[in-house]
Amino acid sequence: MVEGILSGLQEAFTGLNILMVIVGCFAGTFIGMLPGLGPISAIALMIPITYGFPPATALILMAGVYYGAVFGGSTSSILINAPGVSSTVATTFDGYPMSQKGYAGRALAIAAYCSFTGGTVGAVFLLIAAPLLAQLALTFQSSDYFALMLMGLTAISAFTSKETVFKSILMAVFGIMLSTIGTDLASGVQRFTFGSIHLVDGLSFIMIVMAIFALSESLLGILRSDNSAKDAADAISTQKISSLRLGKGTLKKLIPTMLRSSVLGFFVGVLPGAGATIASFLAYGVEQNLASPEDKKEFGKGSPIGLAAPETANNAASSGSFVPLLTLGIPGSGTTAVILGALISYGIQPGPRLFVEQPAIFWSVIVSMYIGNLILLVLNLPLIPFISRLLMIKKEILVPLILFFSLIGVYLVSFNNVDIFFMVGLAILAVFLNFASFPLPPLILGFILGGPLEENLRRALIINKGSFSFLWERPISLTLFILTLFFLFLPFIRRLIAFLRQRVKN
Amino acid sequence: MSKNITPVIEFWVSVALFLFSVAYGVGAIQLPLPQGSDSIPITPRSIPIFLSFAGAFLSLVIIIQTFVSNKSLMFFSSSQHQSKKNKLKKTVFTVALLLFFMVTYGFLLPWLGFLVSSFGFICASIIVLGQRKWYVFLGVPLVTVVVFWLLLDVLLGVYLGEGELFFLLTEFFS
Repeated sequence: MVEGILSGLQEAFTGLNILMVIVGCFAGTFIGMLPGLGPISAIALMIPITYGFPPATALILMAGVYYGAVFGGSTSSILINAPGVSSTVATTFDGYPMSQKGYAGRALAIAAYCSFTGGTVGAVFLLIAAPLLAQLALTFQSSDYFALMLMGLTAISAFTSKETVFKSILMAVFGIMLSTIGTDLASGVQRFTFGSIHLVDGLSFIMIVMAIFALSESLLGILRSDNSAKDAADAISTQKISSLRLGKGTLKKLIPTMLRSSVLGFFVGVLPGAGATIASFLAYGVEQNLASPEDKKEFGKGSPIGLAAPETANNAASSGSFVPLLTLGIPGSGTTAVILGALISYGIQPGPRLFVEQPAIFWSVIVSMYIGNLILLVLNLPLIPFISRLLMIKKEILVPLILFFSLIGVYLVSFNNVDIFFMVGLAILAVFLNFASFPLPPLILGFILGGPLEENLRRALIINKGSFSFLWERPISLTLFILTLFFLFLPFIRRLIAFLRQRVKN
Repeated sequence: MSKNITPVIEFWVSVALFLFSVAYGVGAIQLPLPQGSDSIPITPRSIPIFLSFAGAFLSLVIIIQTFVSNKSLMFFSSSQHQSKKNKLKKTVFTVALLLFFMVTYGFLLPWLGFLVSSFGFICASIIVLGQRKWYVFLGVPLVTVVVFWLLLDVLLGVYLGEGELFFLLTEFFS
């Protein structure tokens, strides 16, 4: 392990890789600040750029962008009450009131320190948990992987709101449907290609991600007449960002919150489907319950604890979500699904073998996450007032540039203009899905996991001579399958409990 | 876009997904089977057929849910102001134009090459979105395209071709 960490340090501390972390953090912060564009879009926009880099460098850049985007989302939540991503919604509860009271600088500093703490604790936990889980995962068979992927897909629905349970599952199914387009590798049969040579290899992952996130989000910004970027620019230009310093007393008061929220955030982040949003809300709730009566009154009115809890938890959860990705090859969220897709396109198969076969990549990602957190604290925080000014770029310039980079980014991968037509079609579909409140991350997760899911099921069935008995004969598969059923029925169980409680009350 | 059209879109999107699932299922049944598929537990049709059933069932549930929770499914409610409708029409038209530009860009990219087609695409999009200052709608695309070309073609060695049309013209005149 020590050797691995050293090789990771060696890899991460090359000039190019450090530059990439810095670039990633800045780019991520800027994109994350733009309302509507979150970490998924930020990472998707970076993928075409990373094709020319070695895999470790590319991953390091993406990790930097991820952290930067989460931090950027917090900044817009605090300054203008416009969370760029769902994981920073809880940040607005106390971050924005603090900003309104004239403590914008202080709120930003708390966010940065807490993000750093959450990220650091998360990275340390990742350092310990990932190799252990990777060792365990080496004993996994096809049936276990099948059960695991099934669990990953159903877990998404368990943690969504009750209105979107069916929509989430349908989107995951739709994603798997898209993954079946192309040649079936086991039999050589072409599925749903309609004789088109462009579909023989299936739909390109990068094309789908760019179309349904970067392109559609830009178009949605116009359709919704979203002026929040302009409002942000106006707000920031008129708002004086006060001192970024935190008093020793405040910091001391926040330490227990930061530690608790880090641990909570990390473990919630590890769970597939849960992610940073749930972690931030849970941490906020826990701290509200644990707070002294005096502090409790401050919640929702600009409480530093109320800001510290979600900010720490969402960053720790971001680190936690890398655990299933790096050790099992299973993405736990939309963002890690995009990273997984990018990894596969670099020729890297994440999973327990990555830890054994390419330890330098494995460890350099973990080390670079830590460097990314440090850069966010040391470089990004003081530069926030300047980065914020980039939001002043008018929408009529920004949108065409995002459209151009998305289209040319995909075109440069294949040099095939048909991809652009597919992208336009998918972007239109994504716009409608968005208006109909269908969540899109499950679609990506389904698309990414569809191929391996079918492959592992096929292999498991061949080994078991066509019998599904592996689901209850192998302890790992059985446990995962029970969890799958639990996640699948969790929304209904929750509804039933709420209904029974209501009946008891009445 | 107004909130009261969301249930309508939700309903029609679910209907579209239902039809897609059915069509996908029909396509799945018609997929060719490799030789000896009787002896294998899972054929190229198996997963698509299952997905088709799952997709159709889930979309039906959502259709019913939407229908039950929204008694009135009017596309534009009468309470909507005319000005709002006009604004909506304008933004939809802008987006439609941008989509048209994207498709045109896709068509022209191999013919006109990266520099000309990209310049044209960004320039047209900026104008459509309301920018009227000539130094902005000409300057921004020019700087973006040239910097991008220098970065990729000159620095990273990614060849961004001149376009078929220029090759044909050169051949024709020489």
